[in-house]
This record gives sequence, structure tokens and C-alpha cells, in this order.
Amino acid sequence: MKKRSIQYKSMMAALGLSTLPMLASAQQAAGTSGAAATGISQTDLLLGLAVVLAGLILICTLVLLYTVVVMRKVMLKPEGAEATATEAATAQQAQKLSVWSKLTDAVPLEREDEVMTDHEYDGIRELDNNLPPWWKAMFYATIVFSVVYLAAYHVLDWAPLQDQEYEQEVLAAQLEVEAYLAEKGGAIDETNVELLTDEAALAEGAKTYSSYCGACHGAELQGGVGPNLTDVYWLHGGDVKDVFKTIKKGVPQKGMISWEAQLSPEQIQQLASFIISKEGSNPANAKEPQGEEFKR
Amino acid sequence: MSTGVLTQEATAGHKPPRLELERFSYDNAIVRMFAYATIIWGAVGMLVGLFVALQLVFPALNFGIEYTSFGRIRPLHTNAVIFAFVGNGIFTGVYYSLQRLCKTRMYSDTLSRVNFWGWQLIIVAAAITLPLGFSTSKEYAELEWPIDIAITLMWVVFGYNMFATILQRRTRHLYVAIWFYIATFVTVAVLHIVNSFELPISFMKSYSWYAGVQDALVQWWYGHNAVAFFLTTPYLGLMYYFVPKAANRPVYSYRLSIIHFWALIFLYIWAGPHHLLYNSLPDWAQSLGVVFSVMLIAPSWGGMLNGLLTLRGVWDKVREEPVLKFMVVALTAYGMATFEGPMLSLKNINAISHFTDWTIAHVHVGGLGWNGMLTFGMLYWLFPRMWNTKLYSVKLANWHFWIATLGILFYAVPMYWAGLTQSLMWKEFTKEGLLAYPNFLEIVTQMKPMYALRAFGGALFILGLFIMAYNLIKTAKAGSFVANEEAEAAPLSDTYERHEGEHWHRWIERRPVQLMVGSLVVILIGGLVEMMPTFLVESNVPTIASVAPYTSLELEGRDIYIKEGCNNCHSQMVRPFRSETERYGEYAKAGEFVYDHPFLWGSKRTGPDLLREGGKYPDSWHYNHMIDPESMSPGSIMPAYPWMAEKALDTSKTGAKISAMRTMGVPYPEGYEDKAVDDLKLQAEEIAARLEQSGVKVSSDKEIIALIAYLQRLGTDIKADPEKEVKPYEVRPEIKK
Repeated sequence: MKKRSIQYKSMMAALGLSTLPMLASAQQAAGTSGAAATGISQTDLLLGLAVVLAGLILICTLVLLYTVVVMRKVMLKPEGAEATATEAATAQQAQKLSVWSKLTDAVPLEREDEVMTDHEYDGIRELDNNLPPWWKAMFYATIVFSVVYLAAYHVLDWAPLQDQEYEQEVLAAQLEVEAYLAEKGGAIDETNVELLTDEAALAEGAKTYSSYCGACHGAELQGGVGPNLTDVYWLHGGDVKDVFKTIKKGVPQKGMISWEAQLSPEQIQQLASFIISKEGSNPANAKEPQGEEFKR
Repeated sequence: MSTGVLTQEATAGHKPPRLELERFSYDNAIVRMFAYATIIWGAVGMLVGLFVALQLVFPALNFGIEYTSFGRIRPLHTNAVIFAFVGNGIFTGVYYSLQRLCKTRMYSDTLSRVNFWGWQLIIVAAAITLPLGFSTSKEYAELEWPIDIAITLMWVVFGYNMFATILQRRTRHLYVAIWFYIATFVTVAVLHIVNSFELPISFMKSYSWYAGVQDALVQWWYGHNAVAFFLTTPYLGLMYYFVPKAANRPVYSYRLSIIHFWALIFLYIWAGPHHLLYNSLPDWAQSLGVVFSVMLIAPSWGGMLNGLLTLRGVWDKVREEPVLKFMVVALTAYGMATFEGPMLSLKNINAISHFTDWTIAHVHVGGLGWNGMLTFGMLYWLFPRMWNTKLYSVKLANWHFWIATLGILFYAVPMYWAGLTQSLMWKEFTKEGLLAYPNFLEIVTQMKPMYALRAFGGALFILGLFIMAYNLIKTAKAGSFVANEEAEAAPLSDTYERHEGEHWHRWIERRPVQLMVGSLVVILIGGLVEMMPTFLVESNVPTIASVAPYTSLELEGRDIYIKEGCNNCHSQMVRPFRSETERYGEYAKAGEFVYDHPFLWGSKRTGPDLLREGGKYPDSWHYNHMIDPESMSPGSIMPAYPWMAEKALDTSKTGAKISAMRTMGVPYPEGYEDKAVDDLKLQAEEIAARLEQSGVKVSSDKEIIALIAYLQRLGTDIKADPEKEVKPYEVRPEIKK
């Protein structure tokens, strides 16, 4: 007995341990996401959880309902006015039955012979217990669910199909973002962007550069897959507005991808300012100049 | 167990003419062969699993060799554990129980041995060809066409032997276990043949007959029902034999057996589309997948209940007897997995779980819990009986039980966590409406601790397996093997009289042929209803005018993508979610895939989706990324593919591939197969020249050029600019007219 409890304890401890790194990573994730932790994902998650919960609640309710019915039968019987002595005895016996065996509608072990079939296969016998009522109820419930589900999507059009669902999702997000930006007061874009020179902004730009740009333009901006960014020659204009636009929209035919979806306007502004601040830094192994000369 | 006389009286009920008892013996030797194979392949398959799991944490563990890179080895793991470990487990249990349930020896010892050695040869062939890169890319059906044919033959051998045994039985009625064996046999045969319908190009290379959406539907009809009819129904059959045997209790409910058997096999076959929710499958087919999955809860639980409730009255025995412990955990895991499955089939939950590690957790609860634990329980029960001795050590078996249970938990919990984290990070937006984690790699690196823990859980499970192997070998050494177990039973009389109040279902239990035909009809309905309209009604796959066949170089590149198993980690299926269209581009349309033999949508996104990869990065980025992923994506866990820049592209079959594609309806003009290689070279030189401009020197005849061509084409047709000049090597459908 003692040994078993040790086994259980060590199992629980091991389980607990297994969750530790997850907590750590969750913290990390929360840390990087910052305040902007709301979004569709959580709505989805909540919806999902709600459905699981609803399912579980449904099952539990059915089980409970049945229990109540059975319990009422069992409890009320002895109070019947015409209960004879023998009836009382059987009622008492019935009371002894566990709720579980009532739930399964199983014939108790001691009366098993009543439901024993004459089947025998290599020594295996078969009982013929009733189908557990909650199981039957669950089966019916899923069938009803299925009919309603198919009707809702494909006959009555209560629920959107996936293309419509997508349009709704995008529209809702668009309104939300517009509202947010309106409240914040205008967004930065290539028509109004200004060059930043403060240390903090340039440092942020440098950070963005090394995570996203260095692979192609070189760690020191010297060029590689993409052009050198430290000389005075520019393929798509060297003004901060031009650089902003190039980063934002990309030059797909030349392999420069659009960063609009990945970087916020503020980030692009910082990045463009950082790149321009590096003009004339003359790194080693610089790629040959490309494009037009731009005089600042 | 000489219950011959007793059987006669018990089954007949009324007074039959007394028949002479016949003496015969059960073939235990074949059971022993399959049992050993189960243990050996179990160890191999799981070790390969551990190996690939570790590669996700330490990518260098592939040693930079093509034969051990993730994309080629992961299919080896799945095939080995499904078809080698569980497959041999099925045969072990069926060959043992069928003889006893039919009171006869197997029909033919020779066929039994052909079945055994044939199956092992197939496994060896898989273990050789998959690392070599021979793959159809279709999950759990990666093996190429000659092996597919061998599998079909072996399955027929097994089925013939089984059925002939059933026909020569000495018991009147078929026990529920045998219903499941029969349903397994017919359904697996149908699934395997339909899904393996492919056009051979050469020895070891073929293309799926179906394309795009249709291929996806067939594949997941197969994939889902491989789980249903290879991992579930035969094991339910084994459960129905070994649980009452081990517990020495009557089966709980005969009528539950009947209803859950027929309901299960009828409903299961419909559920495949739940693997394609929010994919480019018609909505109606998706909805069918959803509702039939939900309706599966009760029939699945019927099996669990009949197993667990059979243990009524002997729960004290469960505490003492390791065999029963394994079986109880197996049944519980089965119950959990079959509840989780329908939940994952609900669209809003699937939107979170699909493509993530959640799916991996789910299948391992089923695989390790249900199949693994039931196999272990069965082996612990079989060995002492066949060697006529006691289990060497109950204590070791208990240790195995706890280690394996812990292993499952350590595997599943981190993977659930990983799946949820992935999904939330993929979908999160900032208030400005930008993705919170635009860099996919950042999300990948978050997973590493979970992947490490999962590997630890897997290692525990394997440790348990080795403890079992030791225990069983010791048991075998201590006993003496009974190769031919003596038995006796009376033959069946020619006439059978129904007796009063007999259950109506007894009728079909006396008629194996009708039972087989009945199950065949029942399992054909769902597949037909889903497939016929998808194949025949055009509106299900609306065509897109700008979608053109691949150039010959791109087609070769696609075959390299398939060969390297890129689809094991990269999906090509942008779902209609804002988070996916923002990250990857326009969501996938059914008409984009009409020339994709086979489809390559994938089922897991360890790396980012590649559907809209074309034109996203310059050629040189792809070159550098394939040679050394970390040079372009620091911290990436993708394997490096340096050999692609060294190996010359094999163009000897390009013409044959073009012809095969045309046979299947891809509009390459007549005679194009002769021009294909010239066109291929033209495009390859163009790419090599572009690479050179960016400072990458590579000869135009290397494999990597073809792969880059394919990657740059991916997903671009839909946004094709009609004004754009048509390159001479491009194939436009109009050319056909």
C-alpha cells in the first residue's frame, strides 16, 4: 500500500516538473507580445473551449438528469402507502445498488445469470446487459447535433461558410484597426515620414535591421544578396520617404520583399533612419555601388 | 483448455446429435514469430521516432547525410510504428485468438509463414527505400508502387488464410472479435488499393492518379481510416479476446457489441475530411467530416465501455495483475483519444489545432496509449501461456507499466502545450493590425524546450519496451515452448436449428461471407458519397484560367521536394484566416491544384507554409538557405541540404514524367515529352545566370536549380499578370488547342 502511494507521489511530482519549462516559455511569449495580447486567436480559443465545455456540460447534464430520475424511483418507493414488507425489502436492496450500476443500467453482479447468454467462445462468455442509458442519450444527442449542424450550414444558412467567414473576419479586423489608428491620431506613411536622429530610435532601428535585414544586406550593411546600403548610390531613391516606401512595399521583381505585414510604420521609420545614418560608414567587403547617386 | 464437450452443450441449448471429438493442435510457432517481430520492430520504429524527435532540438543530429535527414526519416518512423509494430501486433493477436475462437488450426501453415516473411520483407523494403528518398509523399502511404503491390498480395494472403480458417471452424457462431477482424480485412484492402492508385514512371517512381483536391480527399479518407481500420478495429478485436481472457470475466454486453461494431465501421469511413477543415475542400464535404466525427464518440466509447465494464467485479485483480493494468490504461487512452478526436473535428477547435503539435500529441495518446499499452498487455499474457510457465518478473512488468505511463504523459503534455502556444503565436495581432510574431522562426524556437521534453517522454516509453523485452526473453528461457498446443472439439453438425428467443443478429454470426459482404457494403457508402461528387461535379473544383502546368524543370523540382519529404514540415495550404493571409498571402483556392499529382498540402507546419513562396525571396536566398538554413534564418531547425548543390539532376525520366502527366489529363501538348529536357535546360541556365549575378556560382545541371525553380513557381499562377511575357519554356494550356 505504502509503495503504491510513493509511486503516485513520484508520478505527480514528475508531472509537475514537466510543466515547468512550459511556464517559462509562456512567460517569454507573454513578454515579447507585450500589451497587444488581444486578437482573433483568443476569441477562437475561447470559442473552442466553450464548445468543449458545452459538450461536457451536456454529457454531465444528461448523466445527472438520469441519476435524479433513478434516485427518485429508488428513494420514493419505500414511502409508498401500500408498501408491503417484501416490497420494502426489495426497495432496500435496490437502495444498496450503487449509483454507477444504475447509470449503466447493468444487472448487478450477483444476478448476472439473468443476462448470461448461451454464447461461449474459447471459454469467453457474454452477458447481455442493457445499453448504458447515458451512452444511448449521448449517441442520440450527437445524431441530433449532426442534423442541426448540416441544416444550419447548408440548408438554413444560419452559419457562414468558410469564404464568408473570412470576409467577416477581415472586415471586423479592419474596422478595429481603423478605430485604433483614428484614436491614436494618424499613421505614419511614405508621404509624411520624417527622418529620426535620436539615439533611442536609431538603436531600435539597428535591432530591427539585424533581425530582418542583415541576412541579405550584410551585418554591416555592406551588401550581399541585396545591395550595399552604406554608399550614396540608391536604386529606388535615398530620401527617407523613398527608403520607407522601398521597405514597406518591397521590390518583388528584384527579390526585396514587402515588410508591411511584418513591421509597424514606426519600426519602418526607425529602420529607414538607421540605414540612412549609416551612410558613409565604409564597411569591409562592401558590394559595388548600384543605382543613382543621391545627394542629401 | 479442453472445453470441447462443454462448448457443444453450451452453444446448442437443445439436444444435438452427439458428435465425436476431433483432436487437433493450435499453431503457436507462428504466433511466436509475430510476437518477436512486434517487439523488434517496436524498438526500431520507436528509436527512429526518438531520433527524429531529437533532430528537432538538435538539427545537427542528421549528421549532414541525406539518408538521415528529417524529411526522409519521419515517414520511416510513422510507417515502422504503424505497419511494423502495430501490424505485427495485429497478426500476433489474430493468429493466436482466431484459431481458438474457431476451434481449429490456421487453414494453412504455409500461408501463415508466407504472410510472416512477406510482411517482414515489406518492412525491410520500407526501411531501405524511404531513407533513399523513394516516396509518394502521401502520408502513411509513402511506399512506392512495387511495395504497394507486395502489400496488397500479403494482405490477400492474410485474408485468404484467415477466411479459410473461419470456414473450417468448429464453432457455429463468430465471436465479436472476428467481426472486427473481418471488417479490418475488407476495409484495409479497399483503402490501400484506392489510395495507391498511381501511374508508374519507372521502377520506384510513380504519380498519384488523383490531383489536388481529389487527391487530398482520397488521401485523408485513407489516412483517417488507416487509423480507424488498422490501429482501431483490429485492436478492438484483440481487446475483445484478451480482456475477458485476462480478467476471466464474461463480456459486459452482447447488444453493445453489435451496435457499436456496426455503427463504428459505418460512421468511421465518413470522417476523413476532418483532416482538411478550412482547406480547399468543398464546404459540404468538410461538414460531413465534422458531423460524422462527432457521431463517432458514442460508438467508440461503446468499445471502451464494453472493455472496462467487463472488469466489473475484478477491479481488485487489476491492482495485482500487470496485464490488466496495461489493458485498463489502453482502454482509457482509447476513450480519451476518441473523445478528443471529435472535438478536434469541430471547425473552431480545428482552426487552432490543425498544423500544430496538438495533432502530434493526439495521435501519440492513441498510438502509445491504446496500441502500445494493449500490445504490451497482450504480450505479457501470451508469453507465459505459450511457454507454459510464469512471467519471469511481475515487479519488472509493474516498473514497465509506470515508466510507460509516465512516458506517455511526458510526451503528450509538452506537445499539447507546444501546439497551443504555436497556434496562439501564429494568430496574434498587434493593435496596429500587424502580426505580433511576423517572424515564423521566433515561434519555432519557442518550441525547442517542448520538443526536448517530448523526446524525454518518448525515451521513457522506449526504456519500458526494453524492460519488457528482457522480461519476456527471461520468461521464454525459463519455460518450454509449446509449438503445437493440443486441443479437441466436435465438428459442426450439418444442420442447425435456431432455438427460441435467439437474437436476430445470431443469423449473420453464423454466416462469415454475409458478414464480410455486409461490412463491405457498410464501409463503401461513406467513401462513395464523399468522393463521387468531388470527382464528378465540376463546381466542387472551380477552374482558374491562369493556372498552368509546371515547366519540366519545375516538375523535376517538385519531385525533389517530394523525395526530400519537405511536406513533412511545410504545408502548402493557406487557410482562409486573416492571420494566414497576412502572413503568407491569398488563401488557397481549389482550382490552383488541378495539376498537382500528388497534392502537397501537408498536415504539419513545423516550418512556415510554402503555398505562396514563389517570388518572395530571390533565387540566391533560396540557394543559401538550402545549403545552410542558418545563414539566412539564424536559429532555424531546418536541416541543411548541401548535396543538392552537388548532385546533378537526373533528366533521363523527364520525358516519361511529362507523358504520364498528360495521360492523367495535364494539358502538355502532344510530343512535348521530346522537347521537355531542352526546355528544362533553358530555364535552368536562366536561374544559374541569375544566381551568378548575386555571386553564387553553381552549375545549371544541379538538383538545387530545379528545386529553386519549383519554389519560385509556387502559388504564383493565381496572381499571374496576363501582360507578362511568356517564357519559351513555359507551358500554357491554350497550346493544346
